Parts: sequence; C-alpha cells; structure tokens
Amino acid sequence: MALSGGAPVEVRHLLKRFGTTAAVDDVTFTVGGGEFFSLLGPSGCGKTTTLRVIGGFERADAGHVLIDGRPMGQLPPNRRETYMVFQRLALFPHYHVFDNVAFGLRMKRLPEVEVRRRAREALALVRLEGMETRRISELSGGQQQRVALARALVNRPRVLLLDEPLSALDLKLRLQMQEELKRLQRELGTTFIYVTHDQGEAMAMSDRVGVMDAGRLLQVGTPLDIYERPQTPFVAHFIGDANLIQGTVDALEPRTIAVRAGALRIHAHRDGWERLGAPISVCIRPERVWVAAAGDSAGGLRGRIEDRAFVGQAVKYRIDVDGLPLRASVPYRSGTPLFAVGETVAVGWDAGQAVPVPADGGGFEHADVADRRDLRPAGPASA
Amino acid sequence: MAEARPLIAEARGAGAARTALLRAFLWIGVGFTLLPLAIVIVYSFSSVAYGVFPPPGFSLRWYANLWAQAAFRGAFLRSLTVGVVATAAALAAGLLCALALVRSAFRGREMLRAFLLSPIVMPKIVLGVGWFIFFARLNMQGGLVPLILAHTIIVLPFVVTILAANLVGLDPSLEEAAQDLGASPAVTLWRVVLPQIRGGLLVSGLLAFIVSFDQVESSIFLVRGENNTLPIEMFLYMEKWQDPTIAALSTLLIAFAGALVAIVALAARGTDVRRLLPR
Ligand SMILES: Nc1ncnc2c1ncn2[C@@H]1O[C@H](COP(=O)(O)OP(=O)(O)OP(=O)(O)O)[C@@H](O)[C@H]1O
Ligand SMILES: [Mg+2]
Repeated sequence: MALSGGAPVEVRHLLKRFGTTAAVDDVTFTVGGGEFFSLLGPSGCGKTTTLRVIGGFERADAGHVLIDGRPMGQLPPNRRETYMVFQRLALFPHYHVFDNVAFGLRMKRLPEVEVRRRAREALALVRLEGMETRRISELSGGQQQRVALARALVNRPRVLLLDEPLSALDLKLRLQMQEELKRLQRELGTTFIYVTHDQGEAMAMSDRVGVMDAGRLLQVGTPLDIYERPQTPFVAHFIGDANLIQGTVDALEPRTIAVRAGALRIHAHRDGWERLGAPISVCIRPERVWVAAAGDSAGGLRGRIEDRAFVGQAVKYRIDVDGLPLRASVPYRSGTPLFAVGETVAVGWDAGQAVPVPADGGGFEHADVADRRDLRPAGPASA
Repeated sequence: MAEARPLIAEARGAGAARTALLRAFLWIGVGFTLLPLAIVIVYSFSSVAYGVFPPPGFSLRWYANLWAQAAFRGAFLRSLTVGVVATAAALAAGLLCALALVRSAFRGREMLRAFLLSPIVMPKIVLGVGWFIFFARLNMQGGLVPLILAHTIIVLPFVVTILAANLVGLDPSLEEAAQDLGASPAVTLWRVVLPQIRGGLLVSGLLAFIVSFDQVESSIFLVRGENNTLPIEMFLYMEKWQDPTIAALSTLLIAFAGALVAIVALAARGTDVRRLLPR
C-alpha cells in the first residue's frame, strides 16, 4: 500500500456560535502534513467544535478550513479526506466489531479479500484480535475506544481527527496506546489533530500544541516552547505546574528583570518586551525552585514549610514566603534531607529559569476573555 | 425494629390487595376482548342458519358456503393488495416525514407534525366524502388507486408517530460516523438508520396494514361494487343474509390477524421493544 502521506490543514479565523456564545472564536492555526498537532484546553473551551468544523460536521459562521490547500467550503464529511474518532465513539450497535471496522473499506467498494485483510490488520494494531464477532455492547469502554480507533485507522486517512480517543482507558493502557498512536502516526505519515484536556498526553505525543480557553486559541508552539515560554498566565497554569507571581517591573537589567511583588523583590529572565513599571507575571516551575536549610549562606528568600508531600521521585513542598504561597518540587534520592512542616528554609531559583509572562489582571481562574484579547498583541512576537 | 414490623406488614397487605385488584381488572379486560371472538368462532361452526347461541349442532357448512362465494375471494385479494401497497407507501413517506420531524429544525415543524397526525382525529366519513368529490372531479372513481391513496393517508399518522419515536432514541453521531467513513446520506439511511429502527418499521407496518384492511367508513365512498373491499363485501352480505357465513369468514380473519402478529413478533425479536412506543 503506497502511503499517500498526511495532508496539511489550515484553519483561518474560524468562528462558530451556538446562540449568542462563541464556541470557537477567531481561531487560526496551521498543521503541517504528517504533523501531530494537539488542541489542548479545559472542558467546554471549543476543542470538539473546532474538530467538528474541520471534519465537516459543523458549519462555521465565519472563517475557512483548507485541507491540502483546498478550501473545504460546505463539503460534507463523506467527501473530505478526514476521518474522525468521535468523543462519544459512535460505534454501530447493530454491527459486530469486525463489520464496524470494515465499514469504511466497504464504502470504498474494496474487494472483500482486501477488506478482510486490512480490517484484521487494524484490529491487530489495537490489540483486539479474536474479538471480531463480539457485539459492541459486549465490550469494555476501553475496548470500544480501540474499535473506534481501528475503524478510523483502517482507512489510512490523510488527516485523522481524534477527539479524546484515550479518555476511557486506564493509565497503563493509555500510556501504551499513546506510544502506539505516536508510532502509527509516524509510520503512516498521517496528519493527526488530537483533542485532549490532558496536558501530559498533549506534551508527550505532539509535535506542536495549541492551547485553547473559552473559544480562543491562546498559544501555539512545541511542547517545549509552551512549557518554557507561556504567553499568558492561563497557559502557564494549564501546562504543567506553575507558581505565578504578580508584580510590577522594578528594574531592567541586560539579561534579567527585577519584579516587585508585594514586599518581595524577585528576579526573572528578560525577554525584551518588558516595560519598566508595567504589571507582569513571573512563572516559576516548582521543579526549578530550590530549597535549602535556612542557615546556609546560599542567599535566596526566607520561607516557612506549610505542607510536604512525598511522591516517590520528588518531594513537594508548599512554602509560605512572606505571604506569597510558593510550591517547590525537589528531586528525591536516598539521603536527600527532608524539611519538616513549620521549619524555616531558604528558597530561590536561578533568575534565568523564571519566565516573564504578560500579566492579565489575575491568575488563570479569574482571567477573563476580554483581558486576554487586549493582551495578545503584547506578546513577545510583536515587541 | 419491633415497631416497624406492623407498618411493613400493613404496607405488604395493601400491596397484595392492590396486585389482586389489578390482576382482576386485567382478566376482566381480557375476558371482554376475547369473549365476542369466542362466540363468533363457536357460532361459525353452527349447523343451522338462524342466529341461536349456543348452536344446536356443529357443522362446516358455512365454511363450504363461504368458499362458494366468489365475491369474498375477490374482495379479500383487493383488500390485501390495497393494504400491502398502502402500507408500503405509508412506510416510505412516513419514514421521510419522521426523519424531517426529528432530524431537522425548520419553521413550521410543529405545524407539519400536527398536520400529519390530523387524519387520526378527522372523522373518516368526512374524509371519505372529501375524497369522493375529489376523485369524481379527477374522473378516477372505481379501481384500486383511490383506495390505496386514501388508505395511505389514513395510516400515515400511525407510521409517523411510531417511527419518529424510534428515531428520537437514535444517537445522531452514528449517522455522522457513517458519513465520515464515506457513506452517502442514502447509504447511511439504509445501513445505519433503518437497521436500528427495524422493530418500529415492523410494528408500524403491521398496524398500518391492519387499519387499512379494516377500513370501512372512508372506503365506502370510494368503491362502486366492482371494487368492494372485504369489510364492505361482508357488510353487504350481512344486509341480505343473517347466516353464520360471516362468522366463518371472521374466524378465518382472526386466524389471519393472529398469524400476522406472530410473524411480526418473530421478526422483531431482539429489537428493543421499549423504543417502539411513543414517548
Ligand atoms: N450543539 C451545541 N449546541 C449548543 N451549544 C453547544 C453545542 N455544542 C457545543 N456547545 C457549546 O460550545 C462550547 C464548546 O463546546 P465543545 O464541545 O467544543 O467543548 P470541548 O472543548 O470539546 O469540551 P470537552 O472537553 O468537555 O469535550 C461549550 O460551551 C458547549 O456548551
Ligand atoms: Mg469535547
């Protein structure tokens, strides 16, 4: 079977309203052919809706979708090269497993021998050999999800749209299927647009990630990019764990900035867009925070341990630094000294590891869309 | 615990009394339904021509007489034809109507729904008179076509109601999935929608056929002797003769109806019966 290769997908200024609320609000992104692209965001942020517009199930109120450079317009799903793994699976209950998987091939009127061979192959791929004649209702949730995957993959799509395809699997199987999917995607060269609200999953699998909130695409970048250079407090919080410290820029130095946050003065990396006296957030990942005994001469800030949790490879502390809650995750090896709750310690970080983030008036819980919209041009790109 | 016991016993006693009462009503209902049928069946084997119950003796002479009446045979075949064709037409039209009512939102949808159900509440005599004038204008009196058209309209509400109730229970994402996998809307209907509402199709088809087969009031304006349907032929016979021939025919029809129901019940086995009923 010659691989047709993945097709590039372009989404331009997509707008989709349900009633008065915009489920997708001016979303623009480009996915390269054969790329693994994830849309990541909390529940209700418009991921599924975006995917459904790309697949042709939902008519956009404005904007365009181009697949392989061709505008899709109002083309119905059966005439697009996209295949979808539905969030609610949508397996055919009146067919058994094999006929579900073979459905797409039969629609293409392939010879039955070929249909059988490929359907079996796809079932083997998702480890469901021997389940061919089971009814859908006789499968577990995870098995059903794998049938849904096989039913789409068997068609060797040029673009595969996946809507949280692994959400019903237990952790072990999920990790296994993540690897499997990633391998498949690489081997088949298919373009994957993968929707998930699990940031770990998105980071582990994707070439690039788009982070969505309330219908807007906040940031697109490689997992590393997004982790290291979040452009909004929401992204900083949503990707991995983050301490976000609000303050105002107090001093600009060649490589760093000083930020006044309440009674504290802290240092962070300087990106170049920061302005003296302007409000700003500083994102510090807990694993970049060091904790030392208070007596050491290492400098840093004084803090009090509020809480401690041992999670195997690391010890997680909650530390109060002059009223500022700070979380630290310290790698653990046998013999690493542990600090007790209530103990006074020194904490700090390498200024280069603290990332400046445009402030938007609050932490991600209270950040509202209007603020964020105003912020967008203030990102590093336009500075 | 000790105090609770009398309460429970009381509740149990009330429950038992209620169950007994319900059961009694059930059997009274069954009795009322079956008794006339039983009387007809017994009467059909009577040995005498006059109406007396119980009959003084038993014979098969009325079945023999029935066999000799060519008019009944012709009328039966006509009724069968009209019933089958009207049912098929109503299933086809009703499926499309039900799909429109359930799957798409458009202005006037509720009005269309009410309009489609209106033949149920309309007196059949009124419909019959209307059709009589209509088909007379078109010079289409006699023959089976007016009957088939009229019966299609009369049975359509049953089909639409049952199929719409079935479709409401279907997950629309199944149709989306089929389309995604390359199925055209027609193929989706055939391979995904219809198999899932098989039970509804069977039951509404059966109901439609029986209503058509049984239809007198509206048909009476559309027949002109040479195209009498079976119920009308029976009616005419009864005006002339009061012998048990009609009882013999009725007995055969009871058996026919029983067979139909049995066949549909067998064919609908394994479908979800709860989904067959309108909500
Ligand atoms: N058919 C619809 N009618 C009305 N509102 C809708 C419809 N579909 C989605 N919405 C709304 O649009 C918004 C985005 O929904 P969407 O399903 O795209 O979210 P999502 O990001 O996929 O969330 P989840 O992670 O929970 O699946 C939500 O507020 C939702 O209530
Ligand atoms: Mg969703």
